[in-house]
Amino acid sequence: MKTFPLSLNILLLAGLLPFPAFAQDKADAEDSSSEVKSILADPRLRNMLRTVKEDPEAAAKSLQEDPGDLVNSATALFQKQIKDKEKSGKIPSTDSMKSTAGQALEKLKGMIPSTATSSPGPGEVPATRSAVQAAKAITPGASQPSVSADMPAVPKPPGNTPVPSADVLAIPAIAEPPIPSIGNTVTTVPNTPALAADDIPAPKPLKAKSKSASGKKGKDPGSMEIRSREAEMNKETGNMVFRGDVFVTYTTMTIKSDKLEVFMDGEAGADGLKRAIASGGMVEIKRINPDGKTQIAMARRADYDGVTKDVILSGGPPYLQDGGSFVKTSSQDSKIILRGNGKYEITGSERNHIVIPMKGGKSMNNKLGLKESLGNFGQ
Amino acid sequence: MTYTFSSFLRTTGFALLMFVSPSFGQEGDSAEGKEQSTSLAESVVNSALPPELAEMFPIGREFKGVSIPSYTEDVLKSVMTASLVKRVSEEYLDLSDLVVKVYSGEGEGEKRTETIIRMAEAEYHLLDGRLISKTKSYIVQPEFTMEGKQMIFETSTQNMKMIGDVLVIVPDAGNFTPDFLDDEK
Repeated sequence: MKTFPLSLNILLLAGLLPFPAFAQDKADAEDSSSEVKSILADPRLRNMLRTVKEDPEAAAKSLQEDPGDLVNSATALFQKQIKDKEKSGKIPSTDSMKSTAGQALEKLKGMIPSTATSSPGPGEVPATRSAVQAAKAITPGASQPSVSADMPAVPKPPGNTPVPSADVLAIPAIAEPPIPSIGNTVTTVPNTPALAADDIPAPKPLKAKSKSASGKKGKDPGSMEIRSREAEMNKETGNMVFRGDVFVTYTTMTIKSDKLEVFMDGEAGADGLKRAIASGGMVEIKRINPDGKTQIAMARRADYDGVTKDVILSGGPPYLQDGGSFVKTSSQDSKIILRGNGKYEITGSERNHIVIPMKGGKSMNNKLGLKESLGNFGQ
Repeated sequence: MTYTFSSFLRTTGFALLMFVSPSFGQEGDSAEGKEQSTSLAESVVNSALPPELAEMFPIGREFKGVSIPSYTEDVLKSVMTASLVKRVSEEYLDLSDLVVKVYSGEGEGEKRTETIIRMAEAEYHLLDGRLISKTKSYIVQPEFTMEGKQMIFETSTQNMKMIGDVLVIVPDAGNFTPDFLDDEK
């Protein structure tokens, strides 16, 4: 029997031993390749892998391309993918699309100028295009948005004005993209065919509603106003009683009292005032005479006789002042009678105090005497 | 819509007096036919109101454009007009846009107008014969004009009371004042 050398046997054994293991590895490799094929068959994973595979190249290429073109290419690629998947009936999941779009946007953020990517402020229109694209869009020859005749017209330069170059036009467009504005509105008077311009009456000057110098409404120079909280009138007799904060104004005279009784002449045909009595509290009669002096009469009661035109002041005791002169009575029964002609009388049981300032100052040796001073008193 | 009751109003000054004049109630016979169970207020109203008016103003009914004249010996003495008259109860009448014109015995037409009383809303108490305005009231006479927040008119005594922010304007007060004040007009 022919024998093999020992070394050869060892080599043969060594060569035979790993064979099963090799066969097992080959089977595993075939299984794994089938699994890879089955995984890649999944469109979601295949798209993801393709995106990852294409990103480095696209990123490297985008460094040399215009950001706007990059956005357009990314948009076109995205739309193409959508169309392909729509044709094949494989709709990608929303998560994968979001992740893809998010990655693309993250890359674009670093490449697009900050003016175009800055968030719009309050009241501003958000930028939908890059600044470079916006600048290119308004260059001469490019298509412009149609402007209707109703839109406010931008003032055109005169015919002799040279048209600015494209570079000049592009500069302000980068800063602020053109946004149509309303512009200034023009208010026009509507046509009134029934009324010609000449037929429109000219404005008339305003007329004063009051003839009085004080300007009070409805008050004539010779009218009297009586104000109070309450008033009673007897229709048969015509007598009237005013109560509460009675205030009478007539020309330059005013009367304040708490109560005012007015007695009319009851006879037929009589149209005059018979008697008027102001009382309650302290009656105050104030008047400014034609010389501008203030005359004040104060008493508990003021009785006016409509026939004699006299005013009798009583109670208080009565007090009368005419400019710098005054009459002060001391007894309760004193009366000051103001005659209708402007003169006055003082009656009473006690002495009365009358002060009449002398004209000419403190000197008693002046030429003006008592007659001149009294001449103005009571006028 | 005009009612003429010259036979009832010959002796009245204001048109509203016809509502409360006792003589009118005595002339009417309708109150005598009422049942004994009639309340005192109702009997008073029936005696105060002329039977014809009581029939013309039943409770709850509204009358628009009412005009009631009054005469003294065939001479028009006053005319009361109201855009709306409603008898709300046995005792009260509600009146809207009340205008009472009292005419004097001289002149003709509107020249005879002596007194005009105006008030937007008023109520008339049939028992008391009291006219109470709910809104601002005005009295216009040739000698003066008066206005106030509220007016109470006693038709029986013809006394008038104005309450709240009373303002009287006498256009020509020359006859009421001393002679020395006339120079300052």
